[in-house]
Amino acid sequence: MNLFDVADFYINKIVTSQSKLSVANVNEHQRIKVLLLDKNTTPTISLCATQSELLKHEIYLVERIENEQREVSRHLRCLVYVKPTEETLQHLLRELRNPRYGEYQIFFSNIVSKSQLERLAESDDLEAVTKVEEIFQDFFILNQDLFSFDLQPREFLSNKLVWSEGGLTKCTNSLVSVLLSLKIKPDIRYEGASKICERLAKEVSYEIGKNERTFFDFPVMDSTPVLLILDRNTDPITPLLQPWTYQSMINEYIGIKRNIVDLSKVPRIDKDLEKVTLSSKQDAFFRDTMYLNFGELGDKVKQYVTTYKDKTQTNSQINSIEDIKNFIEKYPEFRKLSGNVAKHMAIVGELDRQLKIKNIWEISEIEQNLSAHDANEEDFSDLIKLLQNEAVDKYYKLKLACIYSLNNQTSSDKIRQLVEILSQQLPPEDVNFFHKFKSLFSRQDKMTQSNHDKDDILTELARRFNSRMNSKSNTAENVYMQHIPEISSLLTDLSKNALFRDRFKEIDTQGHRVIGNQQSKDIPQDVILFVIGGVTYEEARLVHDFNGTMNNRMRVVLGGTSILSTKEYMDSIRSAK
Amino acid sequence: MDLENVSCPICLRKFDNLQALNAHLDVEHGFNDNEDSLGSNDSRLVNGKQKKARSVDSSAQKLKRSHWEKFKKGKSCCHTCGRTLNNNIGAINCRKCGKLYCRRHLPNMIKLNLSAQYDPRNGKWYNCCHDCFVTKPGYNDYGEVIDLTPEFFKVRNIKREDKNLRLLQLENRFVRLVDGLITLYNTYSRSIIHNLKMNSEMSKLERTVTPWRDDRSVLFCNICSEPFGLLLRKHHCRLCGMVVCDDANRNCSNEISIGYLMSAASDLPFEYNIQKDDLLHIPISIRLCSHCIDMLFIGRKFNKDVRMPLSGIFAKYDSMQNISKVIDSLLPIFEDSLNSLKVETAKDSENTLDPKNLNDLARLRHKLLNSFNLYNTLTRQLLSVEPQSHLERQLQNSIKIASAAYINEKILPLKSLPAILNPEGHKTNEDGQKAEPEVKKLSQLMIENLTIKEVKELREELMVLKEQSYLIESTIQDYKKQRRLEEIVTLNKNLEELHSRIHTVQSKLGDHGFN
Repeated sequence: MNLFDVADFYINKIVTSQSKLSVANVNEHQRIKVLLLDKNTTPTISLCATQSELLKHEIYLVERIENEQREVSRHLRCLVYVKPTEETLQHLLRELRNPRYGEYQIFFSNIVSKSQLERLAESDDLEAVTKVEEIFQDFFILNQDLFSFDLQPREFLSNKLVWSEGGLTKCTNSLVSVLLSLKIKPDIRYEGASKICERLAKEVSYEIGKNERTFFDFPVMDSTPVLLILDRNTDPITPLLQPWTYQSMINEYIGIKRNIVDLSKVPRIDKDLEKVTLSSKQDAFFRDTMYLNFGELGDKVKQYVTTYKDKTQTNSQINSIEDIKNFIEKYPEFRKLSGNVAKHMAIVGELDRQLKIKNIWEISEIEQNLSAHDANEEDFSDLIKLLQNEAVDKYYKLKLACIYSLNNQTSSDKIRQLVEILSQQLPPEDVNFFHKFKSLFSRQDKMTQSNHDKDDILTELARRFNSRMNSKSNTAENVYMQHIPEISSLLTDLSKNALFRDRFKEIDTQGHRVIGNQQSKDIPQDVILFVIGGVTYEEARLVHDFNGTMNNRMRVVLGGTSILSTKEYMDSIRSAK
Repeated sequence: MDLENVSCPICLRKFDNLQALNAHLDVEHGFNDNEDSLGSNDSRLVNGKQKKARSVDSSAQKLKRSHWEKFKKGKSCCHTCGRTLNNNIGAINCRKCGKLYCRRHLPNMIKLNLSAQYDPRNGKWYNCCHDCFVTKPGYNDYGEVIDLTPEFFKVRNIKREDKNLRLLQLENRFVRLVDGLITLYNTYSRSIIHNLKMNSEMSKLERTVTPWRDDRSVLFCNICSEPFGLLLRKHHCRLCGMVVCDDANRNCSNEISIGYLMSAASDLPFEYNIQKDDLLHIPISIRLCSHCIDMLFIGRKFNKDVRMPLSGIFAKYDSMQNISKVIDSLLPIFEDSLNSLKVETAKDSENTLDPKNLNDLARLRHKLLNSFNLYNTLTRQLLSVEPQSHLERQLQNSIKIASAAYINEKILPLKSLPAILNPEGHKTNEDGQKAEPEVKKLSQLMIENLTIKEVKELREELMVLKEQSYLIESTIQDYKKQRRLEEIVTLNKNLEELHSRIHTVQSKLGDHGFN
């Protein structure tokens, strides 16, 4: 259930691929390879493989199949890795009719239909194709237990309650490829109150049933895996709160797009650092720090820089051949380390700058208090003060008001007072947004509260975590991590086999007959959580911690249609019809 | 506390009272077995009725225990943490493999049948160790892959039969047409009077070889579907007979010189030879549509390109890869010898190192250095080749990066020997002097400022080529034993090339060479 292992497995399969047949017309000396990708598989490869890895396997050229200007060189072997869409297939058919390269080995990132395969075979007049395989990686791997489809709501929803036809197909196919890549044939459960969850669950179940004997012919497990489909809008608070862990902060204040961080807008940024790669797979420092909160992160960075300084001092004296040899021996590691230090220093510096100029410390404290406390007079008073503070950005004022409205549905007088202040501070469209937000979430909050479980494991972990923070006399930082996302209680319920049957309906793909409530399921050992509407890096941290706590007794992978920052979530609600 | 409706914490079955739950735990989940491992007595009192019921259950559904590790007080240890097992930390057998663990390190549950075998359908839940848990079938499995190649080949072969027939027909027509036209040309070209008759005969031949479609009822070009009119005239493709236009932009059809057509399809059994009969200058053209041109010539061009010998960058790269194979085979040997020497040095630091071993290691290192130098030379030669295209320039850049990384990675072990040689320097000045040139040479090599005389270069190249030749000869012997005859052919070819190169280098070296 480690997504990085799956990615390595598939990439290794592509780059080490050998011709099965000794085709007569292929020159035995042909060794240089070109990797041919499409617009869908290019980010998949860039997320999981580095240039040096490709070069090591003699892949000296990477091209896009959409590029019609590619030159002919028939001494090259071509590894094609594409998603089986109609558009890509057309490019591939044209390519095979007059091949640019001497040999083609084709890998598809998802299921290929029979007619697609036939058309492909018909186009291979010159028999340049020596291999055709399906692998299943039609999704983006961000962490070892986190994936994303990188779909925006406007791409997959017609309106807030209905899938668009293309969006449902895309989402279903990508989710099926996740299941196949992990070799999982799950029971499917979904949020019963959400129409879009129900629709996706049925569609995935249909696909599994249709391909039961071909693709999903996996060994029966003693505990059936579970695919749990959730709706973002049943827990709207989590994506609205300012995050405080390293990875989530980068996404919030700078932006992580498929593991690429764009620092070009950072003041006085070095040219080499305008675009940097951030991947826990390749960056050991990031792997160690991505889940740390900002206080802990500071200590780690300090330690990292100290290590760097020690090494630079060691090498500052280069007088003799012996010293040159020592320097050269360490040069690869040294160069790598210095680049990494500069990268993380730039990122942490930028985070700190933005926290200051945007008054995040103050805003976040109030946010957390509003979400964690119930009907507190002092919290409301603090909120009013902040709304009247001219130094605070309008965006954060609107967001704070929305957070308040989620937890205080019944306080009509306070809501009215809030609207009055908002009208003075914000433009009319923002006030309209507030009303829209309030009406959108007016019902669901009650259901959420009724299912609150105060004894869940991670709440206890968080309490102990906060206590430890207290003992370090960092009282201020304790405040910023009060909120526990909904996913935490779901994971606890799952680990006790106590998921509410009424709330989470079930589609049994194993063919067992459900005998009402008398049938009790075994505790699942493998769980895939999928959130329609997107997940946050904070939730990914929870899943990662949960996996560490459970220590193989239960393995969880989290995914979503996208990875959300607070702004992206607000925008998705704004644009919803 | 409510003692009714309690549930099992393991499988969550519900029971009416604690006694029923305890019985369930003992029988179904083997909790009663714990006591036996510790040798404790069961001190609980039971009435006759319950005792009888439980004994029946136990005898009917007892899990196999013969494979259990025996508990020995004061000696048995947990297989995970190694602590001595006692009452405090527990002493529990993994129900599947039988090994003993403490309570903390038996955290997982697995379904077993009564033979203690994994049974996902009909088994019952039992405690098991981490190893048994993660090695059950399907648990650590991932990466579904479906091989569509056989199905692809099958469909391709079916489709290809039809196309091959059509291609054969076109080729047949093409040969007949070309031979006929040349024959007519030879017959009539000498007489000016007969020119008109020749044209007439050629037209007749064209219609005989391929029936022309009646163009009176055709309104659109067969390929681009544009309507014919004053600006777009009708033409017939001489091979398929279809009516097509001659638009220069869309290239639906073209008149092509017969000489060029023949040279592009020189594998076909023409009656005439292009060079011998001087056909490149015959003023005869044939109009063909783009579909027929593609069908006849794309495949031929493709196969010709693929079979063309490697040249330029590709040939250089091929040589580089051969050198890297030599390096990859010598380096492990060197590292093993080096490690042995280090161990030897650590043990007897005061004693003199075995001169023979030291010389062997130095010689091996020298050989490796020569290989690296040749690899570097070939890289430079490859990078100095003028690229024929943008693609070749990209390849050069990639190869440059890859070869730099390769040298960087592989050459590190070679730096260790001088350090070991240094202790010798204190005892013998001569040894010290030997060490120094090696170090300088290495630094020069790394900084890429190395300048070697032609003689040295050729000598080193000769050594490497001979080494390579030896390796390939060994491989050929192995392959003969394994009956891999196809590959022997290729290897023999490589061997011939090497011998040829060795001969060339030896000629250049003259007296400076060695046998």
